[in-house]
Amino acid sequence: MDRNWYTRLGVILAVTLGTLWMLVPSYYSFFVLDRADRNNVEKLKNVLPFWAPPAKYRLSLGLDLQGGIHLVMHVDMKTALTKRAERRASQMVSWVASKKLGELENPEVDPENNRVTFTVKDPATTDAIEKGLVDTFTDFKLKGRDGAKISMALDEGSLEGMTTEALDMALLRIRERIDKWGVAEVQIAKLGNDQIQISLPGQSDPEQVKQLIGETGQLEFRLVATDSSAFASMYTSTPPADTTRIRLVQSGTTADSPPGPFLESEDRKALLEYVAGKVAAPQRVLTHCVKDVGPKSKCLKYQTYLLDTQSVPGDLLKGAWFPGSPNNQGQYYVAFEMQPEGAKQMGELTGKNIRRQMGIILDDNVMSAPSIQSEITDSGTITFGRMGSEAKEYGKLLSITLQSGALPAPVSIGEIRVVGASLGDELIKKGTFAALLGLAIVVLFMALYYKVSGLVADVALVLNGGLILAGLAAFGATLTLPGIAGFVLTLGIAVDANVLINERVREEIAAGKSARAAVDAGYDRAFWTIFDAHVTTLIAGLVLMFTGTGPVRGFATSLIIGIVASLFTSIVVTRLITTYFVHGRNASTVSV
Amino acid sequence: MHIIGKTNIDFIGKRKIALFISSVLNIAILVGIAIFGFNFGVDFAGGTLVEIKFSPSTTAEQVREGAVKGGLQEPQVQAIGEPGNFILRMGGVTQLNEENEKAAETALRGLGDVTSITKNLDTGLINVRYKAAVDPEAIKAAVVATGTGVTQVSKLGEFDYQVKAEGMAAKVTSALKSGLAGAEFEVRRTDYVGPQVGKQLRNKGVMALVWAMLFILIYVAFRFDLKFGPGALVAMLHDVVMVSGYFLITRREFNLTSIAVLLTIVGYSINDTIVIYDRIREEMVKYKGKPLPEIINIAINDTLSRTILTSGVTALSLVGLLIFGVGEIFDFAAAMLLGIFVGTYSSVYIASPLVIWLDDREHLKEASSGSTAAPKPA
Repeated sequence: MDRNWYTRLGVILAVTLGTLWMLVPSYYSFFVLDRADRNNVEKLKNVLPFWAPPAKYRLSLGLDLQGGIHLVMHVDMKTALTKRAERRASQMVSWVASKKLGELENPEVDPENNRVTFTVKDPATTDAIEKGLVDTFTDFKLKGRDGAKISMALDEGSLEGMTTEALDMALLRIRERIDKWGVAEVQIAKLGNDQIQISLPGQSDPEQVKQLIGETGQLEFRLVATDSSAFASMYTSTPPADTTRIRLVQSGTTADSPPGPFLESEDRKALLEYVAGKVAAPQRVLTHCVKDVGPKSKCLKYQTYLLDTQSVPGDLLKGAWFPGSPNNQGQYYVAFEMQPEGAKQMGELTGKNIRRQMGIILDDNVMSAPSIQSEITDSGTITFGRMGSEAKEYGKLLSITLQSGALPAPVSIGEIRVVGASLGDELIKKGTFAALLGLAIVVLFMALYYKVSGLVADVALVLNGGLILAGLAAFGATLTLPGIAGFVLTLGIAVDANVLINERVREEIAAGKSARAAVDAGYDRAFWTIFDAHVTTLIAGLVLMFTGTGPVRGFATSLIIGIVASLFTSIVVTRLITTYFVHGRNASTVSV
Repeated sequence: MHIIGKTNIDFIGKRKIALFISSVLNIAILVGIAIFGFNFGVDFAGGTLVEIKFSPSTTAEQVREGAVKGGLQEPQVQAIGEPGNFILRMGGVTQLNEENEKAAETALRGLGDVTSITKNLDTGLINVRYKAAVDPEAIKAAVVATGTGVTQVSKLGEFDYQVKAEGMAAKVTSALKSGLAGAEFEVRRTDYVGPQVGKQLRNKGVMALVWAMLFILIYVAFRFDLKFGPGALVAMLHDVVMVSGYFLITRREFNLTSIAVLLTIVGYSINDTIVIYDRIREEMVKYKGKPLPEIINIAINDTLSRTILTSGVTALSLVGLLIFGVGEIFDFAAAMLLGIFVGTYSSVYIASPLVIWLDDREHLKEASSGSTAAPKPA
């Protein structure tokens, strides 16, 4: 036994202990918690011993095994783009009129290629108008001129920009809807350039989900009540059951906070239940979500706003944009324009209520509540105190919110997969049993066929199984039914490596080598074969990972982790044990 | 314990027969795919799949009749797993289809002066623009009256409206309830894939296969001689075609999981081929001067025990899935099993002979170009 051997032993023991340690949260989530609490991270945190890894490193089940809904929303990009082209067309018409270049008639948009066509009223002015349009509306390219007809189309770059914008808008709306709904552990992600993927574990009624997500929410501007002492008085007269859960705040700390006093809670539903019936109609209570900074932008807590009745519907907006740079007072801002009818209503609302706050409400969420500085009619700006990258992010969000009122990006459901909880339970039972049966057969066969060497391989195999599960837990991956299939297959491949080694050792013994030399030669010669074989399977796994979606990805994840684990267990671990037998105990024969 | 001792089988001698049989089978499968096509699952074809469990149990025929009576269009009903468990598949994705779209259009035109109307049967959307405002509720009522369920009518612009037709799946429960009076059932799973998404998934799946083969080929070329590359590629293609044959002949559903099987087979096939190639390379050094066919025969015979054992053990690990797997997982296990066997076969009879063939060509070229290479002993 040389020092090298002991070093390796140390590494293997460390890996084994690490594997067991990594599986502790999964053990607690499956065997200590009730089935209903399996996804409850808070409860898991409470039961975990202090030395265990954080609760997030637990093996979670895929939607197919625990029941839930997976859906892909399809953004109707064609309609969204046509709407945008139409808006630009109407802007062109008014621009030409305002510059007194002439008059454009019959703006038409072809929904197939988003080409805008106008007829110039006085043919003599066509050249000047054409030049003006081309120079001013740089997101369009001149596509042709036929007598007094000018046709223009969106160029590639701006088409791409509009597509991204429409997708962001749809994403924002869906996120608002789901945040409002308060489903734990929702995953929302963009898929390609016109799809949004949503996973809702534990949900089982697709009709309800469709209704909640499918219907487009409303945007509106509504005045914030000047006196919100109603919150303070309800808090003193009928305090909530849990005053740590729903708190009364006298005045906010950020620019977006409601005028004090207001209520604050992490639980939107509880908050709304508490205020229900406690505010005299026609005033309404709506919530504002204080968002986490970062890509996930989850709601950290909700704050209440008291709103008056005066409002302007958001579909009277014409457009909104965020210039991305500060105005001459050094403040970042979002500019917006109203349609003629909107300008009239907005003028009435803002003219009488200067200095008051006006809530921008999307889908019953108060997105922002700037105060009115002066009367707004056909156009206005919203300035905000934020600086730097935070200002840019906020400005983008605000302009998308406003845009979504003016320009809808209709969504439809492209894909729904629903698995009922009972089917999930059955599948996990059967899947686990099938995997265990496969494992048992292989273990038995190896022990019978290769005797001691077979048992050594079995030890490695069991460790490999543990490593796959620990790996899935450590990467926060989910275990799916195809994942179990991948798991079983990987065990087969891991055994293959030991078959290769053992067959080679047998050959070397048949060639007359000593036990020691045969083992060494067997491992050395088989190494590159095993390596090549693993790498090629790994390539297939990686391609699956990067191109696959949903179920296929689950399969790829366990295949990849399994292949890497197998290289370790079937070569390093088995060699260590076999070396102990033939070197350490100086055995003259090797049992293969 | 030994299953196979030392063997001395002339594999290479039978390569022509093997190549012939394989080619015939492969061509037959490819022609079959061209003529009959796969039985694409909803993943690829688009459509709706609903898994339902009845208690007490009933027959597939009754479920089908009930579904048709309830108003579902051409549902395919298939019993799966335990008694009472059925899968219903419908091609239609939304309730807007060729039959009722005309009626819907007429109804919409009846509500006012229409400037333009566009319909998309794939997504179930109708965009309509009127000359004056129309009540969205009236639009909804008009379309529903023509037999197309409507989820929502949204206002897109001043006089623009979008009608969203209801999905097929929404109709399943109500159709079965009305068609099969008194039946107790539970909807266990719903898969709905729009045709556009389906097409994307299919393209992605095929691309995944192509990329995987390409990367593996690059790796083989890098680790071995270029001569070995084509053999490995042809063997991979052979295995992919043969396993596709499973889905072609059994008419089992070809879906995302099938693509995963094909990719695993690609990985497995190359795995097996590489073990033999590795041995050929080793023995080419050991027996320098021996003709290649002989060397390959020795290599295959020496690794035969390993080849059979490995396939056997991997196959054994699938037994559990074969017995307890239902639906997709059963197909996964069955196709994998077939893949393991053809993968083993192709490494011996396809991949290795191709190396000989390429080697022969190389020598012929050298001879005809009158190269300066030393003359080979006959």
